[in-house]
Amino acid sequence: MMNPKAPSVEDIEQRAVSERGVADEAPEFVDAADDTPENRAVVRVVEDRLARRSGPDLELDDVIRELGYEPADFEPR
Amino acid sequence: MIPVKLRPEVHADLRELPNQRIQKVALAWLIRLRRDPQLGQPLAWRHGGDLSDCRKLYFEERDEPLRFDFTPRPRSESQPRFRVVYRIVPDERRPEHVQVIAIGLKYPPPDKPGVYEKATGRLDRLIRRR
Repeated sequence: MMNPKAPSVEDIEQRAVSERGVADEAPEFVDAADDTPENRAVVRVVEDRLARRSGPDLELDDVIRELGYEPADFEPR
Repeated sequence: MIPVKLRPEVHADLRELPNQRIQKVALAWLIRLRRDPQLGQPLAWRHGGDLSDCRKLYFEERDEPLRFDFTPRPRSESQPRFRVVYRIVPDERRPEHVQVIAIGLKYPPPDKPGVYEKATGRLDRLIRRR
């Protein structure tokens, strides 16, 4: 069942963008009274959106090759 | 088997490892995570950030992760210095891929961030302990 107090992704993202970089300490985005699994799940969605701004994830095999190895060298036995 | 993906910053983490041997050990552990994503130990709060959805894997230069019978070192055994911090995405009940967040030392030189500090920063954790 949806928690009526759950903030929307858009609300949290807007707050994250406006408050971060202003406060010396990172703000608490889930108040103690509203610290529910549902609210934390919403915050996680925003965190993932923010984290993806540094670029897409890399594939392991591509990284292995870029470091000068071959994926076949790492076959478990 | 599930895919293993790396945050872009982990490429630099791997390059910064002190030698080729430890670099290859780290990569071999990441290969093992494809088959056994729950190999690492669950994490909790580290450096003021909530890493409770992440896991940690200790590793050392002498490890042989390509041998299936070789298990990750416990922390008590000669205090392994290096760690992989990763998580299972979207969550542990519905594993679609492993996302590696950070690799490195828990106790780095004074001018460098430790592995947990890097992980909380990269995940942009908004809920922090004051």
